[in-house]
Amino acid sequence: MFMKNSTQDIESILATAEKFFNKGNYQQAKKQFELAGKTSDLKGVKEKILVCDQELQSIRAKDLLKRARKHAGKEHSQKALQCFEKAYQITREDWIREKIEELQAGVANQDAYASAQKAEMSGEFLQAAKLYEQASAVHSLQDMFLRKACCLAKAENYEEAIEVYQQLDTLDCEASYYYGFSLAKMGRYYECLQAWERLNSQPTDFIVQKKNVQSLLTVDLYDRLKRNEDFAEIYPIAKYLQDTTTDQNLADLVDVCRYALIQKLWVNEQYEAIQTLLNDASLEINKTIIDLYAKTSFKLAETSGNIVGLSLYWLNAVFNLEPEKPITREAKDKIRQKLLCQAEALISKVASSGKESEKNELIIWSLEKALLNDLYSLFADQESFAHLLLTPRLARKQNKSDEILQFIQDHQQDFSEKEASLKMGSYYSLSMQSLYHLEQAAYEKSIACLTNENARNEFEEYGMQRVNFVYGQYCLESGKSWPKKLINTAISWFELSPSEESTFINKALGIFDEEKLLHYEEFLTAFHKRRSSASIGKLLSTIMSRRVMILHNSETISPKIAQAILKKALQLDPDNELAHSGLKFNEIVLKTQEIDTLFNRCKFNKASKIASQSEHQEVRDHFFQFIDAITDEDHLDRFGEERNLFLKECYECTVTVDPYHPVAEKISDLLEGSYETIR
Amino acid sequence: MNPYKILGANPNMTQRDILQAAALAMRTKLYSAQEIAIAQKELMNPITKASHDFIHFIEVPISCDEFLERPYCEISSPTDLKRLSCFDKKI
Repeated sequence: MFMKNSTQDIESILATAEKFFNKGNYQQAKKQFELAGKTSDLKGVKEKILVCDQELQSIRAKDLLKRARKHAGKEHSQKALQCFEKAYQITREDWIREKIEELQAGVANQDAYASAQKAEMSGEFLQAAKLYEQASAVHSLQDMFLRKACCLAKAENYEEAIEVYQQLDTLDCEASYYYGFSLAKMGRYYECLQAWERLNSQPTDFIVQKKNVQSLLTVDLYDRLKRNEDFAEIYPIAKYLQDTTTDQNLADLVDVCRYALIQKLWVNEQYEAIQTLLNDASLEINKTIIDLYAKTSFKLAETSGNIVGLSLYWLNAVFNLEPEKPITREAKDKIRQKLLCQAEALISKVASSGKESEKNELIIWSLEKALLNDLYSLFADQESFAHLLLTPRLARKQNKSDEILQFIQDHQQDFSEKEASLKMGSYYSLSMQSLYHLEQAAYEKSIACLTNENARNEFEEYGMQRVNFVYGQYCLESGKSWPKKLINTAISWFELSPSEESTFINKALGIFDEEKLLHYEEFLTAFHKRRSSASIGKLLSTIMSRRVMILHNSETISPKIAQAILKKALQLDPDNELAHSGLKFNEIVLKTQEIDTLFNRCKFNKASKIASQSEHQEVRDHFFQFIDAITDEDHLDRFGEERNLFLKECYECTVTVDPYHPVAEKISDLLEGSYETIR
Repeated sequence: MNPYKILGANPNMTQRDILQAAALAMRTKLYSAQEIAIAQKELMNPITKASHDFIHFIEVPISCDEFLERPYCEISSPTDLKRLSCFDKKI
């Protein structure tokens, strides 16, 4: 009985144990297996207990790893390390061992960072630099290297500090300062100043130190210059110093470097590089620079066909030619002439290539050459004014336009006429740009450049009037109306420049296009209303009659309207031959038309009266042609018995006009022939 | 055309020097006889010589040799530069 019960209990315990085991509750399963094992030595129970132990260890290890990761995430490296170590004791897995080693290193490096900071604070900079490098294994590489470089600089290990700084992507203020400082200590002043440019804050001590570095750089450049080092390298540094400091002495240094470099580049025929140096906006334009520009531009024009600089500087350089040896004015003029011819040949050659801009260069060249020739003859031997022998463009660049204008004004008596002085002066006035456009036939640009302000002097006034007038003329020639607001300027322009009036008249007389004639007529009518003059009146008369004849010939207007306009034209100019002949022609047309109408109505007597009274033979000829045609045999056949009556009527009309006209004789013969037939 | 280049001459040469340079250029045969003849003619004529002088030579106002005065500097060498702490970060 007892045995039976005991067996039943064990089976029940084992069943419970298995149930727990299958559910993964190894703790309870182990307890039940152990209970069962105590009462009976059943096979398999020990193994089951062993499996439960293994599973329980595995769960513990998993739990430890979970906790370790949690600590690691919170950067509790020490606690994480303990958990990983316990887990490793259970599992003996390699990755856990590697993790433990990594954490152990991290803990050590965390200590390194703290130690580095401690060392830096206590002034042990070299030690601190080493420790910061060690700490970079776990801390931000950028941050640790910034600290390391800073400590190296503080430890006066400048070369290594520079190397570290150069590896870093970005430098903060402290780093920028120490980088620059290290560079300065190594004698690399230019790089130092460039590094310090990143520093926005400028404490007083720093400003003083920066000035010292600038001074050291200046001295260094002087020494390099004396050693004849590469000017190409020295110049940009000197220029940088000049641009970033207020040191006046640097201007000389920069000039020396620039000129030395230019000399070297000239020998090497590197003309484009010279032009780049000369294009420096801060460069004061003086005779030396003008000469250099001119010669470089000449070489460039020869080699590359670029003539822009040549036309701007050559004339100025050549007209201010100062040969080394004293020579006669005649010889000087010959040299100048030769140099001008050489440049002009180059410009003309390039301009003939067909590009608009280059053609314009030739136009400007010709204009400026003429201006300088005139100025040169004005100056004659007045050496004191030689510095004013400049083209308008360069005079403007050198702020000498007013001085030149004053000179022209003071010497107006030396010009053939006042207008010549005004014309020359206008190019040196503020109207210059507009006038240049005008010369290049860029009329729209020319008018757009003109200021709306009142002219400041008579030269500018002349320039403005000229631009306005030429623009108006351009409008007429391109088939547009003369701008209404510019009509008054045309009046004052002709008063200012009477020669222009005759030029304009001659030009207008060459117009035969109907549309252009219309615009000319409109302009001249408005002009004549405001300022009537015989010459303009005559021109208007010619334009009116020319246009009306074109319209009449194309039958666009009736002869009556044409007659009215022609009469008006004759009022303006009674000697207008065209109007006279037009009127005559028009009258012939009108009379012949009238005769035709009367013939069509069989009013022969009235027609003959008009023909006999007309002063134009053409009208009578037309009359006789008609009579001749209607007294033709074929035509007469239609009259039958009334033939002779019709002939008689025709005869009577004809003799009224001209009794001896061949048509009268012809009709008389016809009548006699008829009578003979009857007889 | 640069006659100075053809003859290997310089602007300070006398007419005799130019003739010698032309003779030498004929011997070296770097340029044709015609080119050498034209170059010689150009340099023997004072007017054309002056125009070539203008075109082919430049004058710069300050020579490096004339540039002697070393500027004054408060400190004499980089060793005199003292480290500033005004940009130091707090540790």
